[in-house]
Formats: sequence, C-alpha cells, structure tokens
Amino acid sequence: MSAPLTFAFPKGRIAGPLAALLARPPLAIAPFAGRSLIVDVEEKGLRFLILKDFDVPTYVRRGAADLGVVGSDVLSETECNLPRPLEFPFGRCRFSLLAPAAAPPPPEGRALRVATKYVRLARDFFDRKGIAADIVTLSGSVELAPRMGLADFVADLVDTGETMRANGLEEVEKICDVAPQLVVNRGALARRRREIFAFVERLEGMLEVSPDDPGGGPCSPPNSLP
Amino acid sequence: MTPRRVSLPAGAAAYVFGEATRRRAAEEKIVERLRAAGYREAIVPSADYLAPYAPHLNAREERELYRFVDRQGDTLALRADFTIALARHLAARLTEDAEATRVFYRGEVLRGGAGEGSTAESYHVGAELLGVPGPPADLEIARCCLDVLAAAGVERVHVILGAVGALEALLAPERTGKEAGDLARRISQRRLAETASEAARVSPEFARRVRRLLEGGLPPDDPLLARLPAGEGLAAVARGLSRRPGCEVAVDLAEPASRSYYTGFFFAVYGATGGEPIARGGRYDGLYAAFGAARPAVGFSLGLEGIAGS
Repeated sequence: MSAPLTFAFPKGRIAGPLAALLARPPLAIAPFAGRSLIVDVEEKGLRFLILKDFDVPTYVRRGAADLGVVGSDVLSETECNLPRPLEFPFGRCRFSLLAPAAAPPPPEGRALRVATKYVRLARDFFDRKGIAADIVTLSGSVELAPRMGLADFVADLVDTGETMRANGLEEVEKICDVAPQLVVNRGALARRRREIFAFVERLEGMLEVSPDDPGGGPCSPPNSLP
Repeated sequence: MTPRRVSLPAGAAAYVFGEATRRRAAEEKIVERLRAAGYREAIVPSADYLAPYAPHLNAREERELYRFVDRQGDTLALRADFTIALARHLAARLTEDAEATRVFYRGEVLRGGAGEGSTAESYHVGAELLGVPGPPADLEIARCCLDVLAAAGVERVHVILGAVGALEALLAPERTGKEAGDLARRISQRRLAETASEAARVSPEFARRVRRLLEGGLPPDDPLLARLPAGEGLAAVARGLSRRPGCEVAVDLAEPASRSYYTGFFFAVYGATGGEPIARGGRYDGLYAAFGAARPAVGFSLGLEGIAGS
C-alpha cells in the first residue's frame, strides 16, 4: 500500500469552510477529535497536518506535506511559487488599506506609517504608488494600531468589514483580492503525478456538488474542524 | 544583545564529525566518478564583480545575491551559482579548435531570500560539457548526473525533462505572442480550472492539449513532442534515461526552468523523498558567447545537502 498523501490543513480562517468541503462525499471525512496536530485518515489514504496558515507554504515547499491549502495572501507574502491547481470559492476576501474613519490626513513631510502583518504586500503596494511608507510590522490585532498612535493606516484582510468598523476604521482602497488555493509540492508531483491529479479532480468534483445533494450546500463553517 | 556564540545565521550550516565525514565521502565518490568520465576540475572565485553577472540574472536571482562593496568601491557578489562564473573565467581560455571540453567544479554557493526554511548556503558539485550541441550531449550530461548520484548512493530517482519555450510553442496556433505567454504562465502554475475554462472556449481539442500539458508526465512517444522542433531530442533523452534501473522519467513541459540562462533542454532530479530537486541541469547555449567564446554548453549541479543523507 502506498504512503498516504500528506495534506497541510490551515487552522486559520479557512479552516471552517475547508472542513465543510472535506466532509462532503466522496471523501466524507469525519470531524477530527482530540488535540493532535497529525490526523491520519487511513481508509482515505490521507494524513492531515494541522498548521498555522503562514507555515503551510514552508511544509509544502520542503516536501513535509505533499499538498495543502493556503490563502493567496500568504502565497504572495512568502513569494511562494508552488503549483496551485485549484482556487476555492469559499473564504474569499480582500487585502485593503484601512484608515480611521473621518481622521485628518497624516502630516505631510514624513512617510506614511502603515501597520500590517503583510510587509511585502504592503511595501509592494506603496512602491507601485510611488508613496514613501514606513511599515510597522505586527503579528495580529493590527486594527488597534491607528487608535494607539502606532500608525496612520492599516493594511489587512477585510471579509465582512465587521472588525474594521468595530475598530473605527474604513476601507480606503482595495489592494488585491484574496482566495484560498490548493498548493502542491513539486517533488510529490514528480513522484505521484496521477494520484495528485486524481485527488485534485475529486476535490474539484466536491466543489460542484449541488446544494440539494446529501452533504452538499455551501461550505459554511462547522462547529469544529473536520 | 546576546552574543551569537553558537547560533548560525538563517540558512547557514556547519558539519562536524560523522556528518562532515559522510559529506566528504559522498563528494569524493562523485568527484572520482567525474574524473573517470573525463571531466577536469575548474576552480572559480567565491566572490566576484557583480557587473558581468547581472545581465544573466532575473530579478529573483539578483535579489538572492549576497553583495558588498570592496575597498575600491566596486560591488562584489558572493558566488550564488557556478555556471556563470565558469563561463566568465573559462571563455577566454577555450581554444578555437577545442571540440569538447569537460569540466567539473565543487564548492559553496550562497543564496539569500530563497524562501522560508530554505538553506542559504549549499555545497554544489557540478559538471559541464562545452562545445557539443544537441541531444547527444544533453543525454551525456543527464546520464553523468545520474551516474554521480548513483555513486553517492542515490539509486532511485524521478527525472523531469523540460524545454524552454516548448509550452508556448504547443499553444500555437490558437494562442501566440503575449496571449501564449500568459496562458503558459498559468499552465506552469497548474491553474487547472482557470486554464480549462479558457481553453474550452477555443475548442475541445485545444482544451485536451492544455490539460495534457498542465498535467505533464508525457511519454517519449507522445504526439505532442513530435510537434516541437526540440521534441525529437527531448524524446531521445527520455528514452535514453528510462532504460536505467531505478529511474523514472517524465517529460513535463509545464515545469519552469530553474535558471534564467537556460536556452533549451533542462531537467530536474527528485529523490525518493523530499520536496526539492536533488540535482538540476540544462542547456545554456548563449552564455559563453556573452563572454566572448560562442560555445554550446550543457551542465548540471547538485547540492550535497540533498544527497549526503540519502
């Protein structure tokens, strides 16, 4: 029997809808139980590694996982050029520039201060605009930065906009669209090409399941990971 | 700040005792095999002026360089690749009547920013065959690569063969110029649904062709290869390698070339495990001309890190 396909599963905001997709037939993967970060689903020939979103490209690129799911924001930020055969219709959002609502413009004569955890994406955006920006690197809760005087702007993901509005911010400009992608390791592709593409096709088919079918419907977040 | 007594910069490596012995033993076996095959050693500097290299690097390759300014104000770069260095230092020494020149090299290369978890420092051993054009030389260098891997104990390999420009050529006549380039880029990224819907709008035959190219794994007798000027050569190399025990060969025209100076045939070798190629090679017929000695050239290099533990 061949080794299982190792799947890097992101535990961030994509986890819910991805879990709902994997729960659909024919994979029909039952919810994971326990706190283990490795989950074997032997009867399906799959092994899941539960990872932070930003670690997915590293695991897949280095071959610790054969494939994985990660947002295009993370792929761009990490300059990851892995093959990406599928883009998922769920978990989409946008990466935008945000500013405090009705705030006075930042003082002229100095670079704009921008708080973000996406340093490369933000820097590229301001370079394209020809605007000098001082990027303040944060690892989370970036919406706080303007209120506490750390930054003039925030560059972050916006989904429904609820968090943005709750923190007194408004969207100034969309920088790029973001969508979850299936990424594949090149070595795995060389060694297990047929298996990988068969798996990709199966996932593609599961995306097309009608909402009327058993297990179909929108990939809404379940109460727990699969 | 805590003094860095024992920690290393990201991506740097030190080897001692058994690990160092294993790596040197693998290197010696490789070098012995290369010498037996008629390759002579060349030694190039570990730092050099940046200017002669810059025209042969794309933006990513240039960003990977570790560079500094010397006391005369010249910008130097640490060695990130042997092939350009060898062309620069060997071109002037090649005599006009030399039919074939076989050289090998070994030493550290340093590439920064190669991605999270990637090694910045790597010990490369490689070989080049200069002055011989075409598939026979391509096959010789690919065989040589697999021979030295076998000498180092790597017997089971998966070889992926590609060719610069092949993907765009096979998208004609339906897609040409910039359109072909854009579609080829998305096929290289294996964007299945996106390329399928675009190709389906052209014709069912074009959709099937795009799908086959995207999935790769073409056998040597695939009719698609017959449509390429370089196809017969690629098929000959594939047939030549596939007779080796433990070697699986696939032509994958969607695979992007690993270095921007490749002009035609190229290949990547994967071991039984691991996510990155353990060896890479290809043809770069324009490089020696840029340094004043127009010579066809083909070569390979392998990182000792990928094989010493195999």
